[in-house]
Amino acid sequence: MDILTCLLFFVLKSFVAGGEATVPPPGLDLPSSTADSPMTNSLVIAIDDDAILVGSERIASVHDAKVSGQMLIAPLAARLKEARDQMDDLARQKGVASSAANVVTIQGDQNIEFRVLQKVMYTLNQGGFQDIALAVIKKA
Amino acid sequence: MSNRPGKRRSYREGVNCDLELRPLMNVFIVLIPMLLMSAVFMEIRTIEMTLPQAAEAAENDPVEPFDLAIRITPNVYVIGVNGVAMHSIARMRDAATPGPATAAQISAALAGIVAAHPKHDEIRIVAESKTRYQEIVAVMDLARAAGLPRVALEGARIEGD
Repeated sequence: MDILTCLLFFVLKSFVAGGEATVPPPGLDLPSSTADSPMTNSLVIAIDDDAILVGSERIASVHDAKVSGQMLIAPLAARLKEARDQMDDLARQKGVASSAANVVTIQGDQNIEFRVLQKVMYTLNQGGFQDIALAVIKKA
Repeated sequence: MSNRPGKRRSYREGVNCDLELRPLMNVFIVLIPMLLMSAVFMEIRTIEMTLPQAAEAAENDPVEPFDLAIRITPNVYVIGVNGVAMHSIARMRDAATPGPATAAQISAALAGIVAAHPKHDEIRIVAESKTRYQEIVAVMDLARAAGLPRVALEGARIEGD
């Protein structure tokens, strides 16, 4: 009984102390790093072996992004514009500056090629998202 | 039978004082595996970056030009200042991350440059199109540990790519 109580409190504490809880999509292995900045509440773009997702919505294919001769990923740019408009509307309703919500977190698989990441970052920059947080798993 | 005058029992002996914990334990037994299954024990952190704006880049020309870059090529890591290669460190082809010896060499080279130019805290990481994300993050970690927290990513131009 005592063991069960301790275990229950430990599990509950790990939930509470975790701060902003973010779970990468299944099958996506984040790179490991010594970085120590905590996660913030932001728009999340996930890049796995197969697709580029905004939130949980599949937006573009990684293969198409690789073979495309253009730096801009058009479907992602369109989705980002929608997200940006929504953020601006929310910011207007709350009466805060819209630039406060410009952070985007990229959850990239550790094995993706740099050209894919580069194109995603370029598209973000063109969409007015200058502040980027790269999600990593903290090294033990 | 028990009301015989010779064998009277006290009131306390007749009441069962044990707590009935079985229902509570049943709840715990269900709750704990459920919480353990839904818990994420990986600690997710972030590396913060700010992408440059074209107008900003033109305005912020430094007085003393200092361009520290580490270029990840198939065979070597080339660390250069203002376009001049200062260190070439062997790289294992298709390595996911720099090995311990390579990492130590990169750290020492970057620390030496930082010591010579303490006012500068920025580095460019020039990666090839097929460089893996994990390797870039590993190089960013080495740069940050050497005192270069501001990292810019750049793609190398390769003929025929």
